[in-house]
Amino acid sequence: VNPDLRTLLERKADEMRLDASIPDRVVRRARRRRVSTALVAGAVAAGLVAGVVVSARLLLEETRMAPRVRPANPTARFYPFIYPATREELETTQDQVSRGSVPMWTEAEGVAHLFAVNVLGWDPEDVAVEVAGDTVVVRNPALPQAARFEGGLGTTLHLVRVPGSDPPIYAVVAAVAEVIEAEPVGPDAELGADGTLSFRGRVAFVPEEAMVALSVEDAQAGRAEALSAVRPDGTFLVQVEAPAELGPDTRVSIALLDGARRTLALTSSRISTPVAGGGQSRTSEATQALPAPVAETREAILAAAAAGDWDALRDLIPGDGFTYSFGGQTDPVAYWQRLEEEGTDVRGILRALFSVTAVRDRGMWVWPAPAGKQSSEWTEEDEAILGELVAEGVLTPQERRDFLRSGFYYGWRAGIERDGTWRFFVAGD
Amino acid sequence: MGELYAAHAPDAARLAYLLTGDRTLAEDLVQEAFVRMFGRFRDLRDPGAFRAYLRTTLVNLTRSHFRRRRVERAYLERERHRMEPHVESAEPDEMWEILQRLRPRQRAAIVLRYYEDLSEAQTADVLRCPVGTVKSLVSRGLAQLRAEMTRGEVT
Repeated sequence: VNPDLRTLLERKADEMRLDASIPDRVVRRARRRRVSTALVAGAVAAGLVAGVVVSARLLLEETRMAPRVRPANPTARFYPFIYPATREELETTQDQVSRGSVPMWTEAEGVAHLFAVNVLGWDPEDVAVEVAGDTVVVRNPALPQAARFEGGLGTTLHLVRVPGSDPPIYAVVAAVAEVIEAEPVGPDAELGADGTLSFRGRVAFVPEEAMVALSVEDAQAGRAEALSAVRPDGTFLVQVEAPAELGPDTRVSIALLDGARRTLALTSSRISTPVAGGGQSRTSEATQALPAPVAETREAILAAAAAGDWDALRDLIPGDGFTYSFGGQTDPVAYWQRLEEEGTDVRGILRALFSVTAVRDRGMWVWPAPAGKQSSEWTEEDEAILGELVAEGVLTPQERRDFLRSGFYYGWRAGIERDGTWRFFVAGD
Repeated sequence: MGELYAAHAPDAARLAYLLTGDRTLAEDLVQEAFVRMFGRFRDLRDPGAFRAYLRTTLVNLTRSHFRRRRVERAYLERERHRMEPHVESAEPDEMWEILQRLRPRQRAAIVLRYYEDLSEAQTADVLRCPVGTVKSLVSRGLAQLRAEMTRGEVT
């Protein structure tokens, strides 16, 4: 067989002819890919860290998803959910409901259960679901490695009721693994060469032969996944060759796997959030006069920060969704106090942030103003604000350059809803 | 980029064709590989490594393609045969057809070993698997080729 095989392969290879001049479309796609990869890195940097609860609410405001989504212009609106994975799947459920039948498991707990089975790949019998409002924690105590973790490894699912659905239909906007902390790397020459998305991070629990899987999935561009071993100290670096031409609908997921490659926990969301941008159009405008509820909350935060009154800050944190950290934390004030012990002047950052100009980003007022725009849209005033934040020690000059290069601001930022609810105070790295 | 394309794309297309058995797909995969590698050219310290880099990218893209679009590919294959029956050779080529029926990973191992003339270690590097796996992929692939060809002769 072997000599014949060699001959066959040579002959067949010679049948394949390709024009040696590079097609224009390849050049165009390559350039677009470079741009989109940079956008993705910037958006992921901000998006994964930004508040998923905030995102859910605002995205729904923006998408105005009715019980029956009309397919008249399906590409015009952003599909915010990671489960059901596609608009078509959600529409199928909506159709069933509108016809009078009530499919199993359209409520939050049921959808979380389905997510655990269909996305995490768990046996239905093994899924443990713990509901707390629109947030659900799923665990799988049947996995030996998960069982060794005190309380069981949890993945928190942020669900929202699809507006107007009656009976209610819930959808998952994001999954956050309690044990995974991750941040994007690059693109830069060392780790994030063009076309590669890289994340580094740490897991709070290291199963035997643990791996992390980074996947990037896009309805148009396809799916890419990469695995990387978790080091004994829990740190990891994982890189994936991203599909070309990613967009705001692209889903980025980081999973912690055991030695048998079973998913223990998952962090996942679409890259575009109101805070992150990521290609989402937004209407930002400088604010000269804040609405009274927003102004009152801002004043209260400033006063509490100036007085060092942690209890007063705690009183300002809503119980129905507040973002302050990406993974692993349970108490914002305790987290901030720990940061202060480690040398980060959290209260000083709050004072500096709320002293500069905000932008209105849909229903949210966001500080500082550059956080609400792509860097290409930054005005002289935005540049001045960044200079001010550098002078105040909120940012380093290098971070400022990184934001400019990546196209997005993903440093410390805060947001207050128009009704005065404080929704996030978070940094991208 | 144009120069690199001219120098390497035709060879890459031949490899892609052997990996996929589909000319259109081979061309698409080569172009996709170049799209992905654009931007890294400037960081390529050893220009001689370009071919190896391209080969690995191509093999990975092929694997991803088969994993992701198994059903779609089957449809395209059927359509291709329906629309252009055997334009590449005057007679049905039995060994070639058997080769197409091997699992993509087996076919890749055989093509890398017998067309690209890579060593087992180099093949393992490209396929990101142990050398033992390469040995197994190749020997089982060849065994299947022999068995099916023998069966063809008998019938």
